[in-house]
Amino acid sequence: MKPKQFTVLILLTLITALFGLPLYMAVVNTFKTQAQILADPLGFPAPFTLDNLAKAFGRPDNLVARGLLTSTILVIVSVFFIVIFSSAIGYYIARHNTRLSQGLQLLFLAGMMIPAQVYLIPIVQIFRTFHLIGSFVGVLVVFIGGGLLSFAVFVYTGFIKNVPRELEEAALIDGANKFQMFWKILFPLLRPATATVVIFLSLWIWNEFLLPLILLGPGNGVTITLGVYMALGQLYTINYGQMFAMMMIASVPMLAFFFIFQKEFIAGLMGGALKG
Amino acid sequence: MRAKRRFQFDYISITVTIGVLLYLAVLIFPLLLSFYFSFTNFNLLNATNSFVGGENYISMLSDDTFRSTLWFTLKTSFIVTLLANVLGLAVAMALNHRGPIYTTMRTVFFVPQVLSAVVIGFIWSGMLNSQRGLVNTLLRQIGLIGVGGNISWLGTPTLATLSVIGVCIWQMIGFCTVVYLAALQGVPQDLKDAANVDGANRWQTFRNVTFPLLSPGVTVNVVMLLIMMFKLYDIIQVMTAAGPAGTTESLAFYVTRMAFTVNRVGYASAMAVVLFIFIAIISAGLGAFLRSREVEY
Repeated sequence: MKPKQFTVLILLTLITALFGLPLYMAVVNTFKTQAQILADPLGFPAPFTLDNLAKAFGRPDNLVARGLLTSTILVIVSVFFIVIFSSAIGYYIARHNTRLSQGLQLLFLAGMMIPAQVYLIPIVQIFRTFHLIGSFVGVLVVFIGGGLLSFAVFVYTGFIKNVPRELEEAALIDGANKFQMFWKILFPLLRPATATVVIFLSLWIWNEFLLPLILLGPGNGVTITLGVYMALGQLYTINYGQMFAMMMIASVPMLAFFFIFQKEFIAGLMGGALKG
Repeated sequence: MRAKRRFQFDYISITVTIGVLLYLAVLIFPLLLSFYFSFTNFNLLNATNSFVGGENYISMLSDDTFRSTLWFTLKTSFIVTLLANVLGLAVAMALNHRGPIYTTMRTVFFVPQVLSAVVIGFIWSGMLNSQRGLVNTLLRQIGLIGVGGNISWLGTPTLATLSVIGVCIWQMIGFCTVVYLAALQGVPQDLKDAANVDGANRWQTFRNVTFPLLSPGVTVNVVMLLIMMFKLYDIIQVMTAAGPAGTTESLAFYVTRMAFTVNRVGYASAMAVVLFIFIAIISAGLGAFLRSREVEY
């Protein structure tokens, strides 16, 4: 390696290290005692302790365990229904060239621009009328039918337009009904689109803050992200170890998800970039 | 003309119908309701709810808080979008190599994209804490501030604004980097070689060959970042709660506060509509403008 290249690499490593410093700090301090965090925020844990994590899980209000469960169920159920609806809608828009399909495409494109506040204000009024505030089902319905659905429809429509029709037509001629044709023949071909939809939707739903804050309200089966906000709002200046442990617990599932599906993650973003 | 087909009860049409109805109920109907609310004095505190025409929109013009939150939003959106794009592109160019070192570095830059804004807000509140925060500790160690000195990063209006901007840039760089990396991999090597042969230096090659071919990436990054910044809410809520004295209040934060804390639903709806129009203009207008300037090879 030439000296100049070496210098550049060292410089890059330093910049990256500086950028990653807050992340590093959050990780090491999860495993330290409060005393060491205050005396030596950057050092490795000595002694190494799992006390912070154990205390976070063992909170008397059960915020962490319950939050993890709530968020997991929310993500799985919402993503499941969004995939079913958006793949069918995307198929319809991609395979028809009628005024209805064009109208639908426009309608779903518009949905991606609507800020959450615009639809949350009326939804809160509607939910108040029907006593749905604090209800898990209400949040699910808003997640499934809201802006996330329009993103998923956008991804599926773009992808299905590039899938040749012949296979579907052959399947229909062979006597398959639309349901069999869609799930047995077409859907397996849509794997990359499904990967993009599942990955980004899971991430967004897991990390969503405003929607559960407004619709569930504090105390009603909070999500993990909302739980972190509530817990840290209370103890933030008192106990750093707890703070880092809770953030760690809230982030690890999505980080693991990211590292496992890194390729699909990047491919999803690239798909958006290349299409423009 | 073909006879009109009757509605067919097959899997696709049933699923599409349910999905579209759900979408209309959750998103489109509330959007229309928001428009309607914005012309009323809907307020949860008094029971009256009457049509007031454009009064809410007129009140906005003389509302100092509306103006300051709009200005804060425009300012931060512009600066964050600009700097995150420049830095994201620089990182992408520097890390556009094969090998485990570069892969690891790319991952580090992308991790903030996977974290929730709530977590990012708390990590940085800790970093920027004036007494025990790491930023001040490091500045003390390299002697930029005195031993007992504190910089109140989140406590003074200018520094708090700069801190929010800095944290947003930190959060967004990874997004820009990934998109630019994808775009860079689409630039054919022979075009750069040809420029080289013609005697172009590295800056000229970048300016005249590489950069124009990155334009689809620029479109995506600029539009996406502006939209995300216009919706800026979570990080403000966690880091500054709009303080000190409301100087870091974004428009989205103000709308949320008016709607759900102050309960002035009519007025909040009018501002939400304005926010929506801003975002629509950015995505449709700016997007189309940038796309028209895109270059293909």
